[in-house]
Amino acid sequence: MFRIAVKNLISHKFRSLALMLTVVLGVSFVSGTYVLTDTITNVFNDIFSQAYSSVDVNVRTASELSTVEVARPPVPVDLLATVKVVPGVGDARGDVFGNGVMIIDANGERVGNKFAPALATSWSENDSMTALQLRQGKKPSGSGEIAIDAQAFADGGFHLGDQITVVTATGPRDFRLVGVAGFGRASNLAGATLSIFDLPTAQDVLQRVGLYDSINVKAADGVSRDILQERIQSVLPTGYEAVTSQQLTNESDEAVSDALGFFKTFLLVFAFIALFVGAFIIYNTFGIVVTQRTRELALLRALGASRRQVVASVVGESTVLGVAASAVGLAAGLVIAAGLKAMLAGFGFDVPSGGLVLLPRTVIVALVGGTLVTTVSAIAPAIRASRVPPIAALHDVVLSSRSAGIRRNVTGAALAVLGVFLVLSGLSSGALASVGLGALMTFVGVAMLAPMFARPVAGALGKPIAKTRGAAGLLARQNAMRSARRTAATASALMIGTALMGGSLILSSSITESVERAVSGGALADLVVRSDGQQAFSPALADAVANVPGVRATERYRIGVFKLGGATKNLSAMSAAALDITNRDAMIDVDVREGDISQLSGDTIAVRRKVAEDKDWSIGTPVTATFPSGARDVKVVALYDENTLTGDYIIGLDAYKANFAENEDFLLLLKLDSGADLRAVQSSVQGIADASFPGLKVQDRDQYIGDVKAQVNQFLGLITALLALAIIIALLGVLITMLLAVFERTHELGLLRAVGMGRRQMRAMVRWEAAVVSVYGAILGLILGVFFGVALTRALEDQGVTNQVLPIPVLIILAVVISLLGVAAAIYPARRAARLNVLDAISHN
Amino acid sequence: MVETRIPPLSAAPAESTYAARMVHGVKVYGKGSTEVRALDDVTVGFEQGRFTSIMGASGSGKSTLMHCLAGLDNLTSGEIWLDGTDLAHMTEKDRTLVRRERIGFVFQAFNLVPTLTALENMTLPQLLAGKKPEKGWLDKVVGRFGLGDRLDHRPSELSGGQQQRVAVARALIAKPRIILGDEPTGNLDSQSGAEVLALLREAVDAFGQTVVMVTHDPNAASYSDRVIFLSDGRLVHEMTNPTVASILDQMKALGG
Repeated sequence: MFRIAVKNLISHKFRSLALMLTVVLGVSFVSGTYVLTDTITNVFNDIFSQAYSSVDVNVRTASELSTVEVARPPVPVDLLATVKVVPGVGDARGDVFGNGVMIIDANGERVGNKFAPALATSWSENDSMTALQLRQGKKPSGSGEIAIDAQAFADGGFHLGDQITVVTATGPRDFRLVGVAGFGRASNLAGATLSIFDLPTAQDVLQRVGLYDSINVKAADGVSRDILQERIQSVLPTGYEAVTSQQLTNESDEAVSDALGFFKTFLLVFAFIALFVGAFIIYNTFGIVVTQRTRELALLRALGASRRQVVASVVGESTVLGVAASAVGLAAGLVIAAGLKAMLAGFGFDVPSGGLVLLPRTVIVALVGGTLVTTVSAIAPAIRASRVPPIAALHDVVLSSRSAGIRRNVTGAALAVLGVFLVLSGLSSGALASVGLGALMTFVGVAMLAPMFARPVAGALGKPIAKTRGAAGLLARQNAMRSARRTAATASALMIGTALMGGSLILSSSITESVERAVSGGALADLVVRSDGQQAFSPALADAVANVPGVRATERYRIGVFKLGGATKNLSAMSAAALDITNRDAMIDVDVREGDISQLSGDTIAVRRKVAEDKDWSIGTPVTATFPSGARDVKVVALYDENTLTGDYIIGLDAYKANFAENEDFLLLLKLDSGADLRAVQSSVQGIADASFPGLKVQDRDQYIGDVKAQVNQFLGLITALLALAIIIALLGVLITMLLAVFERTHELGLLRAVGMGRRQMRAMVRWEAAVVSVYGAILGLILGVFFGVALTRALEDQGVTNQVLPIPVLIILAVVISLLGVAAAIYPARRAARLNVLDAISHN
Repeated sequence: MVETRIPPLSAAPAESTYAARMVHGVKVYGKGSTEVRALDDVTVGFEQGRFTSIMGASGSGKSTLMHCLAGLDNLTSGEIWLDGTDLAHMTEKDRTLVRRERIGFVFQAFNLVPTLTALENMTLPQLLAGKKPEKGWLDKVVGRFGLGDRLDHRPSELSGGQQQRVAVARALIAKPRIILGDEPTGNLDSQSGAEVLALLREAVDAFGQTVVMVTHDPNAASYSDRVIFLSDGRLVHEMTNPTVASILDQMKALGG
């Protein structure tokens, strides 16, 4: 008996570990997300407070748009004289900064990640008024010298004294590398490269001759910055503002947490899904264990334990498990954070190195959250345990296989219906919280209903197996039908992951298809020039390309943000000629429904019809739009339906030039002479781009469509990959359930072996049972997944998901893969069953 | 099935045919000071068509003898002959086949697979072998055992006596060389027990089966043709045509 006891212990240890892992995965994702976002916030707050500590007041163009969203128009240099004479000003210096100045290495490639900005700035003459710290060499001075950030210096393999090339808005220029700069402990700004010049050179490079982007002011001794800010503000002409360094820091911190907010929520949603699936597994496992321990629990009751004590003992066990798992999860979160950080770096967002930040909040959320999920999930099984009558200690209690009660079914149905309603109403009103809650309720409701169908479905699924797989198949089918509740709970855990993944696949297929249709229908241009890393590029390219033989017309496509009634919106900007399809050189057909797009000019705006309807706008409606240059009244000139290529708002290129500080193109659209050789023109345009502006690609329509699709798929692929977490946890559930079943059926398995079942047959029997359970889960998941996917794509129809696609082969592959993984999860339990010592098994009492 | 003559051995009556034989069987558990000799040089044969009971106090080795005969456990040394092959020197895979095809089992409890019907349980060895049970033979056994109206019932819907009857029927339907019973009536009331013993007796008398049963119940043992007594792993006595009284006398003599 001792040998058996030890074996049981080992099997419990394995089960406990597997069970812990289901919680650990979810908790580690929660803590990893917090640790990462806190670390990033911390690093940036450090950088910003350091950067702004050298300045007391900053003078700039007033704008409702945050500096992070869009560049402000520069200020004239003579404003400096106005500021300098304000009493209390210690020193005042103008500076310039901007994007699109790429550092080129010896191979002609851009240094740094292609998705990261390529910044440039001036190095203040006053060393106490800059966040830059000289690490090597000297500050640049004169029109031939440059300093760069330490990271770019290392990545580019440069040496002080090298002649290096930077690509500016006007084309490539050579400078002598004289200095290397850092920012405190950071070697660069979140992965962006930085080129630094003296002020006049920077003004030249960034095309700010006669202009500053802002004026930095240092207070004289004894003058507070708030008082100084007020004094300066009072002398500024309208359109300009003075802000304290504290305000700047706050703005930047806010911008960072805004930017991280989406990312954080995004990751936490997946962490939550993981915990939710984990809760299912805990609930199911404790339910099975309680059933297996019926006799032991009855004995406790017979010996005088109260029901409350029985509940406490079961819940206590889950709490211990939860605490342990949460602690491990918290620690594992640090690893996850490091992994996510590496992933971000791959997207060009390099977090400066620095210790990972573990805030008390993270520890509390992880420990309390993980423990709570585990404990709460065990409450229902614990209450069931307490209902075991003491008399059960004396009887051979048949293990409970009672199927769903009416109350359970009614509750489940109500939850599912309400959940579906919440999902649908949430989707139509855009209330995401309602969608999430609805999905949750649907899952729980369906899981509660699942036992009702478990027996017939397992029976039907098992029929062909029983027919073709002999005794192992017959027994597998019977075993899967044995406990409706257990089969249903195990399948439900798999259902959640399958449903979410299925929904996401439907969404991604629909989006890809819609994008393809929209782009192929709307893009009239023959060639598109764009940056590899989604960066805007020099306007000089358009002029250079215009002269290429075979190019009949070129059009710039720019993007920006503006404010509309307090909300920040994206816009695109093009010339009216590029949009007017009556023009033979039109580049994009935006599918105009009302108005006349050829009237798009300095004081008009074209709006997507659906958006205009929501706002109750029609042709001629005056709208107040706040651009970086300030508030402008514009009239609605056209309503259109296209939105994949252009978004919700389009302004004329002239309006853009008048109101935005940026002077760069996001896309360059080309129309060729009829009869021109597309490939020949493409390669000459590419040649010009490569010579002056590295990192650009010239694509025909098919290549462009392929690229856009690839981008969409990359993002949706990330979502699908994160959903795999939920599936892994559910597979652990399959593993645990099968392990418990093998343990529970020791006698029976022993008997089967005694009367001649071979080990291979035994393994097959366990695996086929897992197959039936997994297929049931996959089927439930597919049904819900199709519902979620279709509902979601319908809801996104207004957002441009116009083509609903049900990728049936992909969904079938998903179901097959999930089922096979379920079988794979049963490999270990099957091996254990096969290795059972027959003598021990039949004499085990 | 081809009848195989097992080569005569010195300890065996040459004119007899054995269904199974153990020769110099030794089974040692543990090592060194904790060593237990569960079987200590046992040589015993079970003749075809006879009903033998194995008796002995607990720890006498009777269960070990049975488990080794059944191919569920391995001898430390010695041979077990069944159907002309030595079970003691077989791989686990081959022993599984032997159990499936040549041995019938009746355990004390947990004889039936709870998810299978009575009929499926009865034909489980054939099911495992992927064979069809012989229809005529199956009907005959089912009829004889009075299980005709119970075929679609699950074990939980059968009484203890009915469950054991199904177990005996399963053993018989496979037409094994030998049926082994491990206290087959241990969990039954006396009437059900008597029914099961009568069936085992019938298996021998009507169907010519060989039955070997471990029991500690003199009344059960009195149904058999021969009783062998084990003590401390050794064969200490045997009697033929036993009665309850003669068995009790022998048990007293052995101090059990």
